[in-house]
Amino acid sequence: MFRPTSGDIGEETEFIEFEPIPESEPVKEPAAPEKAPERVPEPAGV
Amino acid sequence: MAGEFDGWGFALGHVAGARSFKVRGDGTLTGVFHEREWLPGENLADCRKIVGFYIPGVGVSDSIEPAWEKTETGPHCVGWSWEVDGVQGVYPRFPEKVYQGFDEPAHSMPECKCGFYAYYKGSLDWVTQTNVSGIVHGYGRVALGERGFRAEKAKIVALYTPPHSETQVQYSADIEVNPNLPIEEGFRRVSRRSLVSDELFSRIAWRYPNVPMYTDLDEMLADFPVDEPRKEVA
Repeated sequence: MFRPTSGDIGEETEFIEFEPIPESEPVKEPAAPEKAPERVPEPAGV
Repeated sequence: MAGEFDGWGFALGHVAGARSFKVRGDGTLTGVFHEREWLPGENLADCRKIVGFYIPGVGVSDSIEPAWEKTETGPHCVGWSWEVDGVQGVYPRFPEKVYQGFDEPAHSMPECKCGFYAYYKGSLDWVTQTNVSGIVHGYGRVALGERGFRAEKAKIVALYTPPHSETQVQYSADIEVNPNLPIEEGFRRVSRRSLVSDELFSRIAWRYPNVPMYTDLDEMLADFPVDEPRKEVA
């Protein structure tokens, strides 16, 4: 198998510990408005 | 360099590089040389430095040698000789290798060659293998080289999966190893011999559901650029 330049990153010049920046929370789609409760007619004559 | 190592620096973020992967039939990506499976999300490096050989019921032998027995037809290998705490023996099979743990006190990443490798430039095309390439982010402890890096932790953030090539470029002069090849050209060479069928594309997508897969190289590099090379490699 032909092997390209894999494994050769050149002279190693720095050693750094990287702390990943937390990925931001995905913006959530606003929840669909709940259906307004149907108005229950008040009993008449009370 | 290892001999000049004087402690770890610290930085926020990650490094971004390009690399190739082998593809199994089920869509799983592995390393090209060390065929370890890449997981979706974070991958944690192990160290492949062999520190001994496990002899069941005895312990770990620092080294082993073939054990020969004279027979009428000539020397015959009967196993592997070992030594543990001054006790010697022969184990009939090749014993299991014992690797140095990444976090063991004796392990030194600067003096080792372990980690996940990725590149800022250079040839990416491997022949005779169904391979794809992509962008990885490295973080944790990272050794930064002139044309790439090796990292304790890495994740695949984008894949370049060009359509199956109609005409397979023959493996000739264009695969000359060039450590200074611009990374865009490295990717283009891969695309000229892509072996990713539609079915394999779907399997890779199923294995790595959160990794965007690009058939347009420029689009991928715009969305996920590779870090700049540090300097020309001789």
